[in-house]
Amino acid sequence: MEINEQKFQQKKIAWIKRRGSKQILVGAIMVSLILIMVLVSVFWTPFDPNATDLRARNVAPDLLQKAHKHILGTDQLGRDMLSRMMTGGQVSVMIALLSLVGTTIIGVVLGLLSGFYGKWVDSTASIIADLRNAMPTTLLMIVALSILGTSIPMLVLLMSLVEWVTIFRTVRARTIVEKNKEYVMAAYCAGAKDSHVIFKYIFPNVISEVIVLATLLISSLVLLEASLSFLGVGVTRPYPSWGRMISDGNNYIYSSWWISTVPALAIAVFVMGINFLGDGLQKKLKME
Amino acid sequence: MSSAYIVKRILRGLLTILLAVVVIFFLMRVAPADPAVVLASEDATEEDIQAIREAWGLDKPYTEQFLLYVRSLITGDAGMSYQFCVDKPLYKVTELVMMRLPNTIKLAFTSIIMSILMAIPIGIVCGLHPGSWIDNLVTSIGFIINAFPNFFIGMILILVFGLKLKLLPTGGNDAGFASILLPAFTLSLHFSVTLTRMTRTQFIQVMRSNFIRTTKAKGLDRAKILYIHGLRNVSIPLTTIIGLRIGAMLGGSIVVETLFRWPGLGYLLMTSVTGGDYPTVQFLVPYVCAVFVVINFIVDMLYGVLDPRAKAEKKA
Amino acid sequence: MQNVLEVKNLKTYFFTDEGIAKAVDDISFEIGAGETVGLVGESGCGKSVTSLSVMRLLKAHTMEGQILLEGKDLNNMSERELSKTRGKDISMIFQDPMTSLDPCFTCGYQMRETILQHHDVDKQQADKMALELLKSVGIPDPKATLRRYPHELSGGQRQRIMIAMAMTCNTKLLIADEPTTALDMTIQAQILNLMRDIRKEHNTAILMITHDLGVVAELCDRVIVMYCGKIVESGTVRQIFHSPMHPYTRDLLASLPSLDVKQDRLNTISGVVPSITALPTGCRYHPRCSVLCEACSREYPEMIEVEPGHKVCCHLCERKES
Repeated sequence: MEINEQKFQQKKIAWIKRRGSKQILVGAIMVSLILIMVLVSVFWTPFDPNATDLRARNVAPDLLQKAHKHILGTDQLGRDMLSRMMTGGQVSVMIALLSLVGTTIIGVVLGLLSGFYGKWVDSTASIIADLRNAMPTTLLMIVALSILGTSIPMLVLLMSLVEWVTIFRTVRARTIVEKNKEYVMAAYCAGAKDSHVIFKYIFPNVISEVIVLATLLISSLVLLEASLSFLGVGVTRPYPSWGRMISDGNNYIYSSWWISTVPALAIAVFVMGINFLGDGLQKKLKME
Repeated sequence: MSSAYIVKRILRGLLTILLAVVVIFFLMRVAPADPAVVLASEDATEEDIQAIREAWGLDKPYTEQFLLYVRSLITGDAGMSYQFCVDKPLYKVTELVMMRLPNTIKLAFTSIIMSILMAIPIGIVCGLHPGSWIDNLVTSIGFIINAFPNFFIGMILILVFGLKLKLLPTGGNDAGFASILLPAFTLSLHFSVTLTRMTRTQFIQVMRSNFIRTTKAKGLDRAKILYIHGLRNVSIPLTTIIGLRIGAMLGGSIVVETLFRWPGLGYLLMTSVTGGDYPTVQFLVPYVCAVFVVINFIVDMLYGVLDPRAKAEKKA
Repeated sequence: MQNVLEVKNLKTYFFTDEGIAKAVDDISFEIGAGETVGLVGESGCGKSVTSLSVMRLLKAHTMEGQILLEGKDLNNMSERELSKTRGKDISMIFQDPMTSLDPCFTCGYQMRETILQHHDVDKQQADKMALELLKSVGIPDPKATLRRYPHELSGGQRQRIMIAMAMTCNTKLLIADEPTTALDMTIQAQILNLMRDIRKEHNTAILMITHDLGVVAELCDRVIVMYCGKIVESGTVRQIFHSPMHPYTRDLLASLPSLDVKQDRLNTISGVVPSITALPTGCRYHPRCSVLCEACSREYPEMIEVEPGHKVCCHLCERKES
């Protein structure tokens, strides 16, 4: 049986790896499609995203540009949907990425410290993580944002506090494993300092896992931003963000469904791409 | 289950609730807007505002205010809500919460039941035939559903079933059972995807296990193997996530309730927050945290009952 | 002696990325009523696959040949017919008693469901039968054990319960797949004794899968030696242990530590077990064989009967006879 199982395992690994690479490819294409669109919008958009055109309000998408030049239609004020979707991406992606950086820093730093030093550092950090898990964070965020007033820095700050626990737990577990390995002992014997050991030996070993986890987090952060903007405590006017645009379109959903659908599709393509990418990377990593 | 473990869990739960209380208390105090001004009606004079300040104890030192606040939470005497009022408050906060709570409970359970009815059978079918076309189809649909924000899916459902087909109400809670269908379904979608995946992987794992091989070697019927041994073993992890989901939802789903104007706690919280109804916010947030903590605790205990192994571990 | 089990030309293949894995490649053997047959070989030689194939518990990509259990071919049976046969006419106990019982149900429940499946009795009678069975496998305090969950019992007790469950119908054939490997030495001896008692009492034929030659010597009547999916030699315990013919069998026996002769090192067989997707041509043992001839790498030797009941599959033996 053993040999057979081993064979199957190998076969499975090869299969999953192939599938993983395909997922990574598809995901990368989807994500870069959106990212390129967003980057381009910094310099150029087909129309001015904020220019209203009252003669061309609620124009339906016209992919072939037969009747008019607004490929994805216009909104209730006659603003071009494609241009708005492109610029809206700037805010959404920026907020997601910045809060991802925040989340990752919190998770990695706490994880390294608590895994490396153990004792009270570890128990304090673990209790904080437990508390975070036992609290309805989104609710507290909504309350905080509406009381303190919402702004993009505030949004990024609060969103950084939401999802760090998974990263923290992984980093902590890996740190504990790594720090007890012989080469770390050897480094100490050679007179290395704690900081040297942490950054030279432990950090490189956790980084690949952190990258995979962080990738997967982007999608939940994008969706979180959208929800907050929908509730009116996220991104506020005049910045268009995808979430904001969906909720703006809510009032016109009957007559002009595309106002909400265009940004929702942008979110969906981005999130799906990220999920493919993250899943694929995770599969690859697991196999190694 | 050892009593030390239970005590530890209870202490941690209390700590969580306390933390939420502290956070809310300070948020209210550092708010840029003076709560007294917000609470007062627009043409209130300086004396009126001063009166409100005194009535709310806002002129007292913070420590005393905090104790008053904690006391109000414990006694449930959280004052009057500043919603739905023109001149004077209509409802006590607790009354308002009690009015809205049943709706949230109804919504939570309907959507969970929808999720269970959809996800578990589908998950079992996929788990029995991993890699089949139906499995791939389900996985793809799940992927797509998860990529859209749930309020957008809700909007599309409103558009199709409410506005175009005119089959179901677009919001509110005036049409009896029909009005719960769309919000509950919207709310159940993302969770259904999670639950389907979980059921699928758990089922695959269980069906590969040695004890399932034993049941086959014993000559049990396929149905008995699947529905007695398979389901029983899968039910343990599923109960955990379903329980946690109930906990998360008894606080009310803010996004979905707001979208459908469903008169539950989530919508109440949103209107209180936007309408400056601080007494309600102050009371509701700790309440929601408490529910969350209590349900987590119950799920944890339930896990011990369901899984004979966990019982033994915790005893030891 | 009438045969309980006759396996004819059984082939179990798996398709893998590296090619076809011939886990069991065209083997035939038979087990007489009440006989205990040991199936021995190194890890990965296909002995477990053989036992699971006989039980039809394997999702092999192809499985050919006949598995005649008292004349009925298991390989042609539908799932429904199979579940009527398994547990009733043929039953099996597994290597790992720790994971072979469902952790969510009491031992009593699991015994009872087995009994209800095969006997036309009500629950009370089934419980009574379960109690009797547990007594017969020597479980202390059987009444309390029925109410216990598997994790509350030791490995030896769990294996006893597995045996009790396998014996609910006094099966004609019991397949034991390394039943003692996961247990302590002292418990091993107890379980082997129990199996000996069962054989005596019910005249059950046993197919004992093991890599432990000691177990074979102690318990079995006949031995089948497998190497890389093929049977290389079979015969009575006396024949195999006293006059092994196949070089592999000899090397295997030589690798046993001996108490009589002081040894500095244990004998090992040189070389490694070949991958089953890339088997050597001719005799599969020839790359490791110490006495090979020119024909060995060319063609696979025929199975010949060197003395009554003693079959061997080696070119050198062929030559010796001719």
